Amino acid sequence: MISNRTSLFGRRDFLRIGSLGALGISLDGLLRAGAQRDISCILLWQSGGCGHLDTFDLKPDAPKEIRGEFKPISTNVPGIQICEHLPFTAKQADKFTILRSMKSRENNHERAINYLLTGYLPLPTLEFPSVGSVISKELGSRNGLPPYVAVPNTFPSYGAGYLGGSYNPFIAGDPNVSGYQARDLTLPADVDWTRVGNRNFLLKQMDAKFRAIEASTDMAAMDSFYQKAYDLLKSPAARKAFDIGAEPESLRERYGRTPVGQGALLARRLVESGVRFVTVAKGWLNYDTHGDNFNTMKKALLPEFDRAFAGLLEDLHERGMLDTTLVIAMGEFGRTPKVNEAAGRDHHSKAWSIALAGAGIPGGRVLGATDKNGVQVTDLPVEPEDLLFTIYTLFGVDPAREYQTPIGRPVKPVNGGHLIPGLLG
Amino acid sequence: MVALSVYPSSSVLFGKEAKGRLLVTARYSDGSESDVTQLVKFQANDDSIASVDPYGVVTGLDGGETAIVVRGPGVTGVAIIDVARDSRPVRVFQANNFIDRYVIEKLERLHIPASEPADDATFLRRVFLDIIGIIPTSNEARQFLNDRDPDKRAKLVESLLHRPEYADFWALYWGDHLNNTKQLLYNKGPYTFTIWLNQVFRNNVPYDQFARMLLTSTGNTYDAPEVSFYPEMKKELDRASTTTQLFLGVSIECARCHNHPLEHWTRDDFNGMAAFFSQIKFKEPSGPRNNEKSLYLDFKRQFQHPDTKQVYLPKFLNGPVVTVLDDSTDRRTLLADWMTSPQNPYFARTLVNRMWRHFMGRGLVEPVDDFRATNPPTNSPLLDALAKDFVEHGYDLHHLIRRITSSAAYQLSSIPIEGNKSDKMAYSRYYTRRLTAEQMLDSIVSSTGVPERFRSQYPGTRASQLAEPEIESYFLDVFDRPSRQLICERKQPPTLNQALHLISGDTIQKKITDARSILAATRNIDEMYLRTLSRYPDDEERSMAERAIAKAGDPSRGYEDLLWALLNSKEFLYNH
Repeated sequence: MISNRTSLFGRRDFLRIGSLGALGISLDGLLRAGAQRDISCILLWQSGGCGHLDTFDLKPDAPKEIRGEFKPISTNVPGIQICEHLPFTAKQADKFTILRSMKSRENNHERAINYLLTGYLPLPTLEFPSVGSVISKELGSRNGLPPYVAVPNTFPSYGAGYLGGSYNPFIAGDPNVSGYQARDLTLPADVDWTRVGNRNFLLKQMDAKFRAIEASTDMAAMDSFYQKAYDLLKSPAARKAFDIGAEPESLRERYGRTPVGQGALLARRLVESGVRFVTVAKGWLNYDTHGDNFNTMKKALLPEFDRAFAGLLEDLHERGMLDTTLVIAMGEFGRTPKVNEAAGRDHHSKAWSIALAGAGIPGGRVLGATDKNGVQVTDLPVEPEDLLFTIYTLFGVDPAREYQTPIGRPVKPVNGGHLIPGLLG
Repeated sequence: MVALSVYPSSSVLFGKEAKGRLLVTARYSDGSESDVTQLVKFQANDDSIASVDPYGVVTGLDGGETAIVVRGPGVTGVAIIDVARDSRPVRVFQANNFIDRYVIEKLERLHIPASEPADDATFLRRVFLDIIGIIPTSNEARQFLNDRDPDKRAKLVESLLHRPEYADFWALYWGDHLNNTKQLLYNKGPYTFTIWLNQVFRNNVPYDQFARMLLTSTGNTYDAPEVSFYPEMKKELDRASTTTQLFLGVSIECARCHNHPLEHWTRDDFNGMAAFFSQIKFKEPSGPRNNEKSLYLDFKRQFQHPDTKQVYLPKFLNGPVVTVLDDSTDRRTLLADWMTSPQNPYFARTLVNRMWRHFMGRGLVEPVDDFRATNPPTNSPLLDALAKDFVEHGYDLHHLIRRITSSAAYQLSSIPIEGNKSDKMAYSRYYTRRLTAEQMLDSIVSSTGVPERFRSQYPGTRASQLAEPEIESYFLDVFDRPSRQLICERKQPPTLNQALHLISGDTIQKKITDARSILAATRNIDEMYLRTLSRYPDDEERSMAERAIAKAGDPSRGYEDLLWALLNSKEFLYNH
């Protein structure tokens, strides 16, 4: 059952009002500012749940079976230390905020991913839209480009749920393959726009006969995708945006020649051309390191992430795009402080870390904290609802607005939530 | 507190805003009872149908049915609430068999009217897609539409059950559910397993025997392909959770770590199920067949929990511990005996629910692998009756398909009428769904006459004959072919990539311009409609098509455009 969580958070209401009040900022003001800034978001998604003790919340003083094998290193911000296997990221620490106090109530991957991406715990009877879909609906498309793009692919919970499939993401494919281009972005050689018009004239009449059944939201969504497909085919900007080969070799190397590295670079190109929300993932549940956590992390996952994340921040900064691009690196939960018998870490939703940058978020900071072993949040608990509330606010989308589901039920884009105190400085 | 009972356990609210009150009684371990309505928590499974307040007062919101779940410390109870839009009598339909009686009863209870019966052309295309996964050829369509035999629908179903495509289609369906992929079975494995599945469905092996063969399989995957059931499940606990989910419709995965908060599954249940699989050992043969998996039994091996090291004896889900064991019993046969016994409460109901979902568009229990007290069926008597009928007829899948497809409920039109537009669970009309990736590609091939070429497959191989999801096909991927890494039902959301592929991709355009295309042989509007939509065009459609072809200037381009439009029409892309 959906209930508004607002009443549960008296203490934090006080904090929020306190921090906003002191600066003389109202939520309305923030929303207006967000809308004016016209931001985009790149989400580096660590599917499977990334261990906070192995990335941004190391516990060098904890016993060996907790602290694990990795050592902290200093960053370009005095006092902030992160994992030794994130050396490139360490040099960009002045550009992002580490939030060490994410917490949720969900330890199952599918459900937790759904929670983080939609702002609701899943219900059997109503599919909630992902944040990218809500942004698509609210802000629409720029320059004929799809507003929401998934690199390389979509995964469960990326969809538009009750908003209807027309807000599902566009699938970009893997930009790390040689000769990459997004598929089907050119009309067949012997089909010109006159023929397209003729074909559509026929198709419209055929579908009109079928219209009685077409109350189905899926069918309506498919219609809207035909229209968007034509917009895209007509847009030279779109083909250019996907042309990652136009990037200089040296920059491609800086991001790393990996699916995530090239994905982050493609994301930058897309955002530059007008896409509003881009997800970049390695795949499905790659970070789910129940066994051999340390080798997997240091050999595969962290080096790839490190170059991609650091490369993206540096590049956005150099291009002056960081102010209007929100960058978030996160997974659906953290991993258990205690290392298991298989040298792995298991699911841990009580506390984990995420990194946020851009869109007015000051860098070079750590917010929130966990206890000495990284088990519980001890300061500034932030739940998925709060994160989504904050993202919507930054985009200038009112988190308290209401949508009608197909059966006419009013539902908000996030189930309550509050602005993350102090995130905006 | 040992149990909760909710009164009334089922009730109907007439109209939106109608209210009703639930009373909850607790029974304690000493046998005493007391009213705990004020102490428990209430929750509506579908809170678009009815809401419930903390005092147990239920308010109707929209026509339909929901369970109200009641939770106390360690115990749960359920009440079913039907919300009727109004109390006027509604028009339903004539019953063909027992299925219809239960569907009608539900429709009348909810006061939802039924749509008209489907016409012959609609029925023809529907049973082709639902039973063998392809659309009829133009000749098959002509023959059926011109046939005057009043029994022709039943005869058509009978003929479909015995076609080779039937075996292909159901091997594909079970390949999805049994994780038939190269990831787990190496290069040859998916092929031997697909051939085996194909034989099972070609011979209509009873479902209980099918399950038993999988469960009790031993040997090498190339000689005994049914062993392919096991390699995905590395440990006893995986085997327990997959087997329960697949055959018993129960997700006990949560009980891996803790007792289920709402249900009566416990860690003992989970560990007890795991203990049926403890004797399984694998070896990887060496030499030329080194990619094969070989399953043998170590009869003495016990199930020891990987974390606690505690040894568990086999225990049936929500049933007794098996104590009579010797060192020569394959424990899996005991599990198979229990599962396939006619009294088993899960086995037959899970299968009939899966099949009901396949044919009717929505399971009586959704998701189909989440049977639990707090997720009751939308039409419990119907589910029971289907399961009973299935068991009484020897777990015969053909029989079940005949039963469902001969019901008047299955044969309803998908066109909604006033009063049933929002119905999603009472089966007042046929629920439309997009063709699956394989159905769509095979239908495009059959309509255009131009086969699809798959790498390293025989020419003419259809998409629904592919043994493994690794065979490259952008078309199949973009239309949501599953990767077979997980056992879950397909989801098919519309996407921009799909629209782009239909417009400018190389599938449709290539086929309609191919030298082997139907357009090279004949330019006939009736034929094009029959090949794509399995029906004749009406006069208006015929003249529309003629005008468009004339307007195109070059007639060959005009026909291509007509065929493109037919293949992109909703009537083509949807099973309706």
